[in-house]
Amino acid sequence: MTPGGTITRERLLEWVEQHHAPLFRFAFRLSGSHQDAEDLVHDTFLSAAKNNAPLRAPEAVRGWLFAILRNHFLMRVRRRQQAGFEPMPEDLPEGAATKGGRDDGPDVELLQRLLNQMPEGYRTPLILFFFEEFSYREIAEQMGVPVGTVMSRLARAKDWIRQRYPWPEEGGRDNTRGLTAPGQDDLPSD
Amino acid sequence: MRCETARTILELNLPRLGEADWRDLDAVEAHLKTCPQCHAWWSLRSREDNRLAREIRAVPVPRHLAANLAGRLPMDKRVLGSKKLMAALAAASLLALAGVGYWLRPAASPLDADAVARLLETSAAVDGPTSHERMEQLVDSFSRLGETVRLPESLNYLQAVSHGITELQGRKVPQILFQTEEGGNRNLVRLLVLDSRKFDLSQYSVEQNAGLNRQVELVPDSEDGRFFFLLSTQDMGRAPKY
Repeated sequence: MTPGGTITRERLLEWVEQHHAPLFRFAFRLSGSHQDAEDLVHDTFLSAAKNNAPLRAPEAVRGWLFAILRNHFLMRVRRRQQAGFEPMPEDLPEGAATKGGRDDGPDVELLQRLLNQMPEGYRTPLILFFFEEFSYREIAEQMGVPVGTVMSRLARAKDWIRQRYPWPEEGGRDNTRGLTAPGQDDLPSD
Repeated sequence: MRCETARTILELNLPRLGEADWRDLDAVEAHLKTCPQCHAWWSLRSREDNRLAREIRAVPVPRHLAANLAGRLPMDKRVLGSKKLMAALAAASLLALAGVGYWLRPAASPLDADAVARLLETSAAVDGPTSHERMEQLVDSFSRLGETVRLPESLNYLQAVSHGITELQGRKVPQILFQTEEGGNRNLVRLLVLDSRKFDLSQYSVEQNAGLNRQVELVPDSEDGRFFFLLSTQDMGRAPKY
């Protein structure tokens, strides 16, 4: 992460063009709100411009912007908590797994509700992994946690959401869950 | 391979991320071919993961978001001038005053600071005290750049002067530049790490790339059939001993 260099407006617009859509989707899945997502994306690019901007290798820009967006999201959450709003959960909530399958389209609201219930420390790796296919190392760098922590949180988050999100019946559910680590429904705090 | 081991590797998605050992992947693949239970388990997991990925990504992006963002961002031609750049510009001015403006005559094309910065960015510090430590730093640096590599143990990485990702036939290729000196003769050695998953080397012959002032050598990784190392030595010098 080499600091220094300049960011021209031209380069910033190039980044907007390349990255605004995935950043918006990530922001929406983090915040659950279109308006918040739009503001978060805007704040992200503003920070990228104002920041004593490191000039990144093209491969590194995407991860850097995602990390900025996550920081803005966390700052918003902290501000809301300081203002007396409900604090962000640290544990994955317990509760009965969803029963049965479905054969219609995706249940957008349920999926977002489940993501909202997840502690941020589990939600972010899950979204980044499925969303943009970041590597464990990239996610770990963005979150400032060891790679092993990312791997374990991701596995638990996947298992948690699998048990709560209704799946189409495709030849029956997995009957080999005994091989996964025990106690995955009882997740630790961040 | 035991079922539990295979499932752990698959569950952690190591194959997809390229973070599993090459030999482990072969063993997992072989296991899936012979174990119908694990094969069925993995098929179901893959379907679930793919579906979840698809549905998590299914967020409509407002049509005018990019235009709105562009309109709200700073309008300055130069959004930011860093202290380092300012210092560099000041130094450049002094140099110009000292009479070295000769090199800045209009015919020369302007040096693109962004391109230079990108080049420097990909050359993270490799300053370990031993060749082995530098090799590990290089592997780590390439990993940060998104490229999983193995490097030949027996090269002298104390001679490495630069590294980064270059492009070959539209694919990313890790590259290390060495400078060697022997008997007053300096040579530049370029090492390209070729991944057999990206390039089919079966028809390739190094003679096609060798020349009067260039030696080319293609060396397979001794421990792993995945990587090949293409060493090009300029000026008929000697490559780092492999």
